Amino acid sequence: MEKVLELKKVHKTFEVGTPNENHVLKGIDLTIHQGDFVTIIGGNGAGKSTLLNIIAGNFPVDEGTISLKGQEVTKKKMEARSKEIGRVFQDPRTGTATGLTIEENLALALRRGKHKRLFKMGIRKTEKEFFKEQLKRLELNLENRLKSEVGLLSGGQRQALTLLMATLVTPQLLLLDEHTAALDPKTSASVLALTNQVVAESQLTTFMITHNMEDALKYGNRLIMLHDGKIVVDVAREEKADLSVSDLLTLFHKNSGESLTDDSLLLA
Amino acid sequence: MSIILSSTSQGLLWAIMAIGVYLTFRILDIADLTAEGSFPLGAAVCAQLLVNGWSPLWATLAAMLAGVLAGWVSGLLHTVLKIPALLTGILTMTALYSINLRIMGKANVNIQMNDTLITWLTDTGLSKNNAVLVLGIIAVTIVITILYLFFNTEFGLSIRATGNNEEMSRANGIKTGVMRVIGYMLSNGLIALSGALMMQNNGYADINMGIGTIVIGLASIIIGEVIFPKITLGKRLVMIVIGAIIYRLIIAAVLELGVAPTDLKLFSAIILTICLSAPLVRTKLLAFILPSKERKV
Ligand SMILES: Nc1ncnc2c1ncn2[C@@H]1O[C@H](COP(=O)(O)OP(=O)(O)OP(=O)(O)O)[C@@H](O)[C@H]1O
Ligand SMILES: [Mg+2]
Repeated sequence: MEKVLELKKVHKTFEVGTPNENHVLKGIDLTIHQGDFVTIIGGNGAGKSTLLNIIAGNFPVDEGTISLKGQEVTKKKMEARSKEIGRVFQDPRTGTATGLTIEENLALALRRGKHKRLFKMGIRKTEKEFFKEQLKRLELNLENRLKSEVGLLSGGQRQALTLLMATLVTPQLLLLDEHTAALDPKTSASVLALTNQVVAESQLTTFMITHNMEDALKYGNRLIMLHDGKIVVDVAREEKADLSVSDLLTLFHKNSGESLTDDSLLLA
Repeated sequence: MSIILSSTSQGLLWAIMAIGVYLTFRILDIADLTAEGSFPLGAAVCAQLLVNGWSPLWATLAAMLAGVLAGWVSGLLHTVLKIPALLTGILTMTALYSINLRIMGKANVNIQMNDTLITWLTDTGLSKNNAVLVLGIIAVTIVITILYLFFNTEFGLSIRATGNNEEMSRANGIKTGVMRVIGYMLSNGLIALSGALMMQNNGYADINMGIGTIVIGLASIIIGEVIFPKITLGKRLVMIVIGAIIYRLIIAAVLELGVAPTDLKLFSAIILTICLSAPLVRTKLLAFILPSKERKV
């Protein structure tokens, strides 16, 4: 199967040379194949977001290499990688331009990773119909609000919109960083269900951080647990399908030599 | 009547500067003080070229180009050298003071004997006041039309997104650094254009004519925003023009009341302070008038 993402011996240290020096990623080796839906869990500060950020290109790695679709992108900036990557962030404010309208946001998403041209209209007439159709899939009635400012939408609506934007042009890799964590339980569940649907429909290769073990087990076909900057659990397919929360805890204990019982955050 | 007419025509010329300030201040969310240097830069370049026999049209366009260059320098200082925006503006504006003096060769260049865009219009039989009014209307119409079209292109949309949400913009593949630099260039180009037009109206360029530019620009923007807080970009640009005219009218009224012209800068600052506090005052007033349930703000 085709490799979509390949990390080799990736290290990342923040605030090098200061008393706060923080070695966050300690030699991550990870390969994700076409069509994989990977969920990733780990305690606060385990380095989950950092891992996602170095894949997206928010900041450079100190050591190791990153390849997307067989092409090395280690030194490439976020803008340059954006062509391949769709993203939904934890904070509902991050994924959309709140001062712009829904259709303007979608228009930008439709041109993700493409050269922005001076003499082309930002939104073309034919695109509006397409936007409406796409918005209908969210079942949030946003298709009638193309000209509304995104700042007027609720957190859940924004996350659903961001998910749509991230997948409007089919990404090679979809990165989700606790994208339902800021939502109330009901909205969170519906955005997750929508995510699952979108991922299944387009067979998207997906990398989803969650704080919720149940969700991590329920969704996806591969589960990774990050602890102290290292991958300590990596289960896939049948093995993952049969896994329960207590199996996961045992596995964690066996592999990391630490007990999770007091790490309540992981269970939250 | 004549006060209203002259305030309107002056307001139109100032409005181009205010729109320039708006591009950085609101669209890119950057507080750029380069204006204080690029406004007199436009005046200096235009005056010197007129004295050297250039056609008023080319002299005006060259002045605008000089502003674009000044914006390019500020943009690079900010995006490449990562100097905070406020400091960037102070640096460029300080440097421009010397540059403007060099361009003019002295503190004041008189162009009263030269052809200008305004004399072109008075030659057709218009009075000076009407000529300035016509020039202002033409210039403002061109600027707003072009900007409106520009900000609805893919490129313009990317600039607006950059100012609105940098992280989202980068995640969508927008080169935000480049967008900022271009915003700086456009902004200061317009500000220099306004300086060049204002200089032709005044009949001379003066090294100190930039002082207070930013206050006038902000006041025009904010007067417009106080009147209509939430409107689309095209209407916003028109409101800035109206804001600039209202500002001139207020200044004219203040002068009528007998305030000495030397105290004008003080009054400009006071007017801007009042405008800036208006949204807060409005909220407080509403809170006071309406029972808490009906409150919308
Ligand atoms: N840009 C940054 N600069 C400095 N330190 C950072 C930066 N980003 C993350 N860190 C540090 O790296 C460590 C790992 O953070 P990270 O956000 O990756 O954790 P996480 O696993 O996502 O945690 P959480 O579950 O709380 O989101 C933390 O100690 C954090 O303070
Ligand atoms: Mg995180």
